[in-house]
Amino acid sequence: MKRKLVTLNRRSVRNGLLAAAALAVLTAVVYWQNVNLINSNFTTGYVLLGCVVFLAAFNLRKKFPMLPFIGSAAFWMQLHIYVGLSTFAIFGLHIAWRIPNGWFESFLALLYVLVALSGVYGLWMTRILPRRLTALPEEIVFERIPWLRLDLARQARELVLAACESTDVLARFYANRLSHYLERPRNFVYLVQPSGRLRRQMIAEIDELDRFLAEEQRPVGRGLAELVKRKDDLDYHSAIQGRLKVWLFVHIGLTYSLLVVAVMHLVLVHAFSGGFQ
Amino acid sequence: MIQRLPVQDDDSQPPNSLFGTRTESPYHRPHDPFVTLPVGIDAGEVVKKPSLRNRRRRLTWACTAFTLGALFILCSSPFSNEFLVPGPLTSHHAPLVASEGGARCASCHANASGSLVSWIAGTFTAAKKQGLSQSELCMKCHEQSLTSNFAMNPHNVDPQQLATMTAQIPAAARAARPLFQPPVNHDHQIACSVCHQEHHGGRDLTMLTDAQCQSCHGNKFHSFEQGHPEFVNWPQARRSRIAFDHTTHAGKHFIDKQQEFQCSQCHLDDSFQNVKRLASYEQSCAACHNEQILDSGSQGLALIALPMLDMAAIETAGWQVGGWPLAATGDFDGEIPPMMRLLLMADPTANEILKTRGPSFEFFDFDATKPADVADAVTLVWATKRLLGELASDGPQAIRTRLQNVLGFELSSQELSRIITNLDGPVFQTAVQTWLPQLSAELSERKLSKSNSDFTAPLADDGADLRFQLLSGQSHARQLSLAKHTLNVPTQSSADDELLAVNPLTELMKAGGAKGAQTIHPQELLPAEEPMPTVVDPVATVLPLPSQVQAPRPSGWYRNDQTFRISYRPSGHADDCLQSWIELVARTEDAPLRPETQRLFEKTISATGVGLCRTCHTLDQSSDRSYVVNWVAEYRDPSIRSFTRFAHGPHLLQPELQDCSHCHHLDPSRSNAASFLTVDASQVVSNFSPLTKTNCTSCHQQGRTNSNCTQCHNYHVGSKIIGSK
Repeated sequence: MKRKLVTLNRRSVRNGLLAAAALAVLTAVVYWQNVNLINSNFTTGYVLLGCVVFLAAFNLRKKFPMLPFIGSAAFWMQLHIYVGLSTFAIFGLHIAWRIPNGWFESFLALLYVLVALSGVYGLWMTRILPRRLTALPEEIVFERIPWLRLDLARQARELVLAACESTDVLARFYANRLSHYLERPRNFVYLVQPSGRLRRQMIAEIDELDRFLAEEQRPVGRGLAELVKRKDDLDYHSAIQGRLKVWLFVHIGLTYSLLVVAVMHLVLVHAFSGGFQ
Repeated sequence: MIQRLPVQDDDSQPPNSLFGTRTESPYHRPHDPFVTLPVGIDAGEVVKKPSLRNRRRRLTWACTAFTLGALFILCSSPFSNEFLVPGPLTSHHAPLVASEGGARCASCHANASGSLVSWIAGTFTAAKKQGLSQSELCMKCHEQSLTSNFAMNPHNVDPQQLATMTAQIPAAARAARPLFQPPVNHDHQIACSVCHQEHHGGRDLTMLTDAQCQSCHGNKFHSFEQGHPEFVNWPQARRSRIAFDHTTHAGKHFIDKQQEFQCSQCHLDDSFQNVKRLASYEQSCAACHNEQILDSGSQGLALIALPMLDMAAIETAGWQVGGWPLAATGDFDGEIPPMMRLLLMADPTANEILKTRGPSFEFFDFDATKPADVADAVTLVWATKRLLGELASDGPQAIRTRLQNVLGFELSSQELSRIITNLDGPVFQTAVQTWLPQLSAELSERKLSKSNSDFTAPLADDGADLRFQLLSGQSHARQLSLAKHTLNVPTQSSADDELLAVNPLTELMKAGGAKGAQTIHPQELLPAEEPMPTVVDPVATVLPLPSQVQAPRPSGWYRNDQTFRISYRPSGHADDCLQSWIELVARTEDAPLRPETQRLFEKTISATGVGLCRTCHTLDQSSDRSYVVNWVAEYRDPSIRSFTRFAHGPHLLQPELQDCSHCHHLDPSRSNAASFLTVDASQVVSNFSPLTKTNCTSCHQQGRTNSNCTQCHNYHVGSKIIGSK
């Protein structure tokens, strides 16, 4: 059974209604301006620029938490989410729901779309992915993953070294198959789309080794299988937590570029506008 | 056991040196400088990397710097126009872009030629290029199609004129002012870019929604079918220029002629079937009316006519008038032709008498027994002689001088050449030599005696032979009993007679008309060319000319030595000389009331005048109390646009609409004859029932076809407006 992606609570309904009401007012103003031959693009443009500046100020909130009456981070987050979602409609009103066809305007629109969509993607991930992580047996700090991966590799190496006095089966298997899996992070495909296929394959291969091992060496095999499972969990954490962090590279990294291009757009439209000043 | 190491960063510190050891915590924040390491793992085994936050900060700075640099490079490059342009122009403006090259933006945008600093400055100040705002730059190309004075005023109309038109709107609608005014400046001007949004590619630049129209118009209504005012008298803002009664033609004249009354016979399509233009006179009217027009001009219009003089009464009264043709003696008789009257009134002595005696004065009115009448007659005779003397010596220039003196306005050379039409000085010299051969000597002598005594003193009695040259070419010398002078006037040779005898009236004379008439210079009978609107004649609708039109009649100036007249016989419809005389009179202020022009006005601009012009061509009075004769049936000035337009073409695709009467209902009870007699063009009486909105709303309603405001209404109309009411 599919789980509900977003749970609507009273706060969501309230904030959503407030955002919708603000957009309705803005739409009415734009309509009134259009029928009165007033260029509504300036109105929507300034509102949109103001919203983007406000959204960018969310980062400043983190830098100045000591300021009085600045509000809680959760409050700012709610504002960030609903103002950010509202900019989609404002952006649509601003470009009159048409695709820009000039290079500069297209570049500006592309920047906005990248920043906005990355924000939505981040919002979606922060709602969905933590649930997946809590299903795993242990919580892992993202920054500790490299050391934990090395620790798993070290444990596996010690297990194999302890058992290689009687037979070299485990040692060769470790050297040829397991060390590569345990010591290195997973490839980009796995980070994009995590899968347990390799884990199952590795465990199956360890099970195949049983017939070549003595009775006392078989617990070593089971230990290696356990380490493979833990490495896979670690990789899964790495992929999911990586997503939760990498989207900010796009979202924040392009925000200031968006602001720069938007300010230049503002200068251009005023300098080249055809109205009486 | 767990080791605690700081997060490896560019500015990270050695483990346990700066931050020291911390107690174990189950929680970890991304920016926490400490990371717990499992026992047995050497921190050196992990590749040192900056923290995610730091890397993100670096990326953000890098992106911002890259964006700034890229913008700077692109804006400084030769491709800056291509990069900054917000979209392609419409095809109408493409040639402008192609011609301007790199500085093409500056052809429309005043700020484009400046630097980034000037752009920023232009954000706050009024940007102008060579003193021109952006809208004024538009007008550099569009001044041909828009009136430059009011190009940026609403509807391109003078605000005062617009206010006058607004005042004509019913008060109830006028009271409903819009809540907000459109974005006009202090001069009530509106920028071009308010409506015309460029850089959107092929989007219609002229697109205007109904709501935008109603942003200014206080009288708001839902749609064309709901709330739009009725047409009232549209499209007839003025009466037609040609007097035509559809009712009598359809109900009587065509029936009498046993012909079918067809709309398409006179109302022709243009090449796109958008305009129903009127057929030419030759195509539509000549078949019935040509003979009437030719007959009306058969008597001609006299420029000069010698009156009959009672020489006995003059002699008895002690006056001398010098030589006078014997055939023009007897009792006082004869009218002064209107043209001659106009010329005579340039003479102060004649002017006084003619004004005193009124426009209907004739020589017949003189009483030979009254010395005062005889004295006036003698004065007029000498004025006539002076006129003839001037004409003989100065030719047409004398006509020009006298007309300018009398009418009070300049006469151009072109106008003069039209009103005389091949009538030159030698013609008058010949007439004088024929009628009054001693005129020159008489005038010289009189001028001399006038300087010594009364100008009416008797002349020297030395006798004279008057020679007459008659139209037959034979020269007759007749002894005039009253003429006392003997002048050695050279007799016109037969060779000269031959030259003058090139007489197109020969055929007419043979037929028994106008005996003794001699054409001086025949006017070529040109095909009547009525200026027509600039529309293309569809070949299919050109009707063959009636055979009657093709038969030329003799016309032009001719001299009659029996009646002592120089007259003009019009060639028929659209005679240029007659037109020019009519225009001359119409151009005169208060022409029907002024003593100088009253007779000529009646003789030419009347329903019974020569040429019958006024029968069909209506007369409009101008604001300066002069008149305009509507020679052209249709007047289409490209600079004039109506607020409302209609194209027949798309409608005539519908079979039921191809019958004109589907919309145009001829009402037999409505006669428009009276409206053509007035000089007020706004007095509109139509033979047709008024067009109603119902004619249109059967199709033009929401959900069926386009019924937007701009479907029928123009925004740009200019200072000259048709149908402003």
